[in-house]
Amino acid sequence: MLFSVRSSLFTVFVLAGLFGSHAWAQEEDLNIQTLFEKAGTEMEEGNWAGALIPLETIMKEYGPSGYQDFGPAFGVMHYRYGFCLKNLKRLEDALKAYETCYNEGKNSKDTPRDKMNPVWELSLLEMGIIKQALGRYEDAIKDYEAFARNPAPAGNYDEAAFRVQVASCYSKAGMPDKAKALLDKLISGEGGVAPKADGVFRAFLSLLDSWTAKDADHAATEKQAHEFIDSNGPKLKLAPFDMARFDFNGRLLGLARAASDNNQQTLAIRLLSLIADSSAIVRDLQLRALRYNGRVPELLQKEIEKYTKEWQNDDGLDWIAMLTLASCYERLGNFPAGYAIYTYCITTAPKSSHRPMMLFGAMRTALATGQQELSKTLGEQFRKEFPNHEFAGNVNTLLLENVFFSKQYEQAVELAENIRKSLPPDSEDRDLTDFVMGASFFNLGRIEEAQKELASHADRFPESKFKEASRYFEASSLVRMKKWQEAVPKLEAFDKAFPESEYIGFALLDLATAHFQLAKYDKCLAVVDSLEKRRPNLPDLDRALAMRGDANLMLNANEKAETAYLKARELGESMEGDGHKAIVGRVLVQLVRVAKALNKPKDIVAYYDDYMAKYSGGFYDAEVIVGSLEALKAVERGKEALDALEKVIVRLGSGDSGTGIEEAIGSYTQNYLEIVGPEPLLNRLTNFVPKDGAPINNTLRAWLNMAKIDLLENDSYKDKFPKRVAQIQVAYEDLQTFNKDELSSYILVKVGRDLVDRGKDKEALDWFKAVMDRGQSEHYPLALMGKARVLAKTGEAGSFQEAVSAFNQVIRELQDKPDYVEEAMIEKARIYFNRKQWRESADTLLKMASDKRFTRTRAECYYTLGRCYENLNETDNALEAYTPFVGPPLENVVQYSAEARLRAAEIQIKKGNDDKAFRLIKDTVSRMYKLSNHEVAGPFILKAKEHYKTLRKKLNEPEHPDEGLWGVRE
Amino acid sequence: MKKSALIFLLSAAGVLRAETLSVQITSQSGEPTAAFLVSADKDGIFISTAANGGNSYKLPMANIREITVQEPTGWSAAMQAYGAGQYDAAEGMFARIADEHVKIVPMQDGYGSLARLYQFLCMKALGKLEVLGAAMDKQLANPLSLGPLYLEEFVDLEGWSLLGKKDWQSLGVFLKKFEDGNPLNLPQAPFKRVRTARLAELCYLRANLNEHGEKKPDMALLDYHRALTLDLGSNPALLRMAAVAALRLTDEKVQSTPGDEKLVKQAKSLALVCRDLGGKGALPADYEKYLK
Repeated sequence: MLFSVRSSLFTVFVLAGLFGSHAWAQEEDLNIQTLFEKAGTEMEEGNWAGALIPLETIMKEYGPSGYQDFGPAFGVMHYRYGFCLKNLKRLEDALKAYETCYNEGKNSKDTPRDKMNPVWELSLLEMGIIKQALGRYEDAIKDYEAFARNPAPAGNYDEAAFRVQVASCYSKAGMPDKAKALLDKLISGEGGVAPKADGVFRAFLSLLDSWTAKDADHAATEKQAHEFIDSNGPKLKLAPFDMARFDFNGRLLGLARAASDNNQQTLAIRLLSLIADSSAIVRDLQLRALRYNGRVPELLQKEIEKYTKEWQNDDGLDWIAMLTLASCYERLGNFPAGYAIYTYCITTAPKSSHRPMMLFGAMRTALATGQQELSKTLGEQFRKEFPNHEFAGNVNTLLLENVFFSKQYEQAVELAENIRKSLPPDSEDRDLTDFVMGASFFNLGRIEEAQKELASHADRFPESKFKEASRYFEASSLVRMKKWQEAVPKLEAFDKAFPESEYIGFALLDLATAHFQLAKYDKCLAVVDSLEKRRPNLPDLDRALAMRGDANLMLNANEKAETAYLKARELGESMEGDGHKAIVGRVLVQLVRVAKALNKPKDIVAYYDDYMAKYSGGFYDAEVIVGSLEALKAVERGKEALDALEKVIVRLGSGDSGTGIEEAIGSYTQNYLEIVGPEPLLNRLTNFVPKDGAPINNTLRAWLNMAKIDLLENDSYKDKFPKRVAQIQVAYEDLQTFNKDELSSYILVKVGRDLVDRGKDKEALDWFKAVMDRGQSEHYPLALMGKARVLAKTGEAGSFQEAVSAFNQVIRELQDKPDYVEEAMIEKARIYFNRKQWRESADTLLKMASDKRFTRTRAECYYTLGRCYENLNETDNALEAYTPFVGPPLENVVQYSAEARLRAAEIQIKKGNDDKAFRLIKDTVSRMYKLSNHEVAGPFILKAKEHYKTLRKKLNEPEHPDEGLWGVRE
Repeated sequence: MKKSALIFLLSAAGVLRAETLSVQITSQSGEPTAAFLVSADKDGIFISTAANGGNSYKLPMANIREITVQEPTGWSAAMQAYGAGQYDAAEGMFARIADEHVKIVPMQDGYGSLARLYQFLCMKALGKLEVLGAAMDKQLANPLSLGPLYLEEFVDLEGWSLLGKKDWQSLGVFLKKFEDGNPLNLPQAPFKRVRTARLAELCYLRANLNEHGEKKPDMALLDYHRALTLDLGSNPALLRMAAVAALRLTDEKVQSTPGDEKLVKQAKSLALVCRDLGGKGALPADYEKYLK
């Protein structure tokens, strides 16, 4: 205990003259009285080192026989010697000196009065004090207790201070109960001892030392401390200035911190409340100054100035106490208190070196008290002021989490991007930034970016605290990107890893969707069953049940589908929100379809009525009406249905976007055609003007035109429309006047193709390009193909290459659409063939021949392949290519098979294989003799007949009885 | 060295025994005078050489270099009670001293004014705000004479008096004077850098304005927490009032959002502060549930 060392409670200096009669006058320097006085003078001035010099001389010169020569009184020398050493913090040496004084300078009954050691008892007390300072508390207590049994005479020491000292030592020795008992007596004034307030406070601090010691029973000692303060509060109240000058404020702060670390939070808060801050000290001093009626002493004035400066100091103890208090309240779970303190700090002490902690705390507690926007502002302020501070990472994290979890995704992306710029990819801090990027993209619907970020995040941070959300968002992104195959294993793995995840319901829904899209309907049903059991309260369960209906429908399990849809409808109707309304609307569409399959016309009408009453105005209007038409007609409500459908079309045609018109017009025309017939439909389409005069948009106008064209181009009704070619041309020309942006891709492709048919290739390219510029769609391949064909037709070298590229693009990108690939490959082979690039053409055709999917152009493929080989003089390959034409099905494709057979026979003739050639020619003539006048096959059949006659003669083959029928008899 | 004399004064309330205070005066020329303080006005004091105050005469303050006034009987005890937080007892003692020395109220920072000021401060600490408002209004007839240090306390009492009267508009105007700039656009403007003891009280006043005047319980809750903390909790009476009010508002939030564990923990923290720091009976029985 440093305090005890620095200042003595029991100073005794007045011993002058004690040694005068025994002064040895060998040399003036060595005179013991002179040396003693000199030491005394130095000690009074606090020059402990200076005092040691004469004292050491005394020890050296007189020490060996000091007690013999001067009696116990010589103990004063050792006492003084110890006193100086103690103040020089040479505690062990000091202790030895005091021990010498105590052990060798003991007074006895016989000791003459002038040789009495006046500090003998006190030296024991000092020994205790030093032992206490050295941490030897139990030894110190022994000394104290011995001193208490035989104390120094009253007046030689401060008894109250002694008790405080002992109380402190008890406390330090782990005997707080003894300490408290002693202090209680002292405070209550028992024994007539009145301690000074600061002494009591010191002992109180010692008690606190033990109550807040690491190994104390913290809950119990916290309670004891509160009880002690409750009982002795007024006695523990010192003037603010006294709290400062005795350094009690600093001690309290340290104890409060220790208490807080022990989770004795209310004790810590209470200790901090005992601290007098600078403003209180200044006021205390100013009030003291008032007593001087304006003639304030200089020392007091200096203190006022000192603490006024401290009050204005942004870095003083006041602010550390404040921050400690904030921390205590935060640990206690009280964030508003922390917020109150931190915001006070940042506004009142803007220049504090603790400002980073203050700003961070304000940000943190603003967030914890639900002030997200403010927290964000404070976080940004921190980033602005302390971009490289050690807390910057924590601030970034908190800020980012705040922005992200408050669903400000655009800002989250911007912030995360900004933060991660300076971080290497494998930095731990990238865990959060990259997750936030990916998850924000996901929530913003920027799915491809989300998937990329999240996949990378999952790879680099498999143990991330965000791994659950990260993995779900990534898998769900794949679903949204329609990458069903990739999504399924990820979703299944997610289910396995996080079966109780908060996302599991949505993950199972995604998994069911993926299975459905992959036509794995049984798996889809199993997942929906699991979902229903595991998450019966999932908000989107109605969607899952509707999917169960869809899957059953696909499996032709109509009754099961109906049951599922009815359940989905019931659930959806019980929930609020447009999302559920849309699901029920769609479910009703499906119920109409199922009821149709199950032949339940009454149910169809009921579903129709329900839909029209509650859900009309949506995407499925036309489908419901069309699906219900038959049933409605049966109950004489067919006209009502058509009127309703017309209204739907007009409504869609009056909107801004025109979304859904295509489907509605399609349904309308198809239905009108069936119910009313083609001519009235054409008339209706030509005069489709709303009765109420509502303006219709260009999307609808275009679709009406397109519907007219589709009707007129339908060969089934060609007899009904004798002027259809002209009508079609007019309609197409009308469509060409529209802004391309207003037209659907389907219409654009149709117009492009029409232009090609009319030889307006260059113009057609613009229409195809407009479709392709919109990106992938179901019409993209048609446009691409149209473009390639046009380019192929030009015959120019540049266009030829461009055409080949376009065909290659189709072949490469549209593997899931074999019709387009087949068309592209045959076109590509054709243009090579036309340019006499036999090898390239043959290679393309050979690939086609090996792909069983391509059936439409198989005859052309083998025929042209044979031709290529012939041109390459690879006759065996050519014969092989022509071989499929000798049997079904290709032999029936006479426009190719007749020539192919003839060519094969001629190759055999050239090879000298007349027998083989004759058998082939005979087979051809016998099967195709009727086709002599066929537009394409005719000339080859005639030539075959000539070959027949020639070869029969040459080979001397007998006549065939049917030769007359075949037309080869001579 | 106390020289006290008893004089008898008749007052409207009855017979009141009052003491005349002795004074030691040093004039500007350095001449010492020992006398009794009889009364005061705005620029001087009336003194007498007789303990009963007879033949008093006026001594202008401008002529006085130094003056030491005898401490009234009971002053130390009253101050001790006040310092120990025994406001009830202190209020009575200060009231008695103030009444006895009503004639020297015009003397700046004299015992007459100070006793009344401390009486008001006791009322504030006891939460007797309506009584305080009325008493301060009454005091306008004989305005206290206070130097800058004590005047600050008196100014703050105005705010408490307005709270007692529930005069929200005036309280708003009063508080506005203490508000500082708000460069960080905090939801509530910070107060200027004043003594923390004063600051915590201003926060408590604003909390009441927010809660009862402007019906902004969330803002009030934050201000109650400011009152609880910004003076480090050094004013036990204020700490108790602020903690209880904050707990009450937090409890209301807990009731309106059941299951919010964070709020329950916050309520518990306040209940603990009430129990451990608020003094006996500070924690209302209704909120003991948070300690379980």
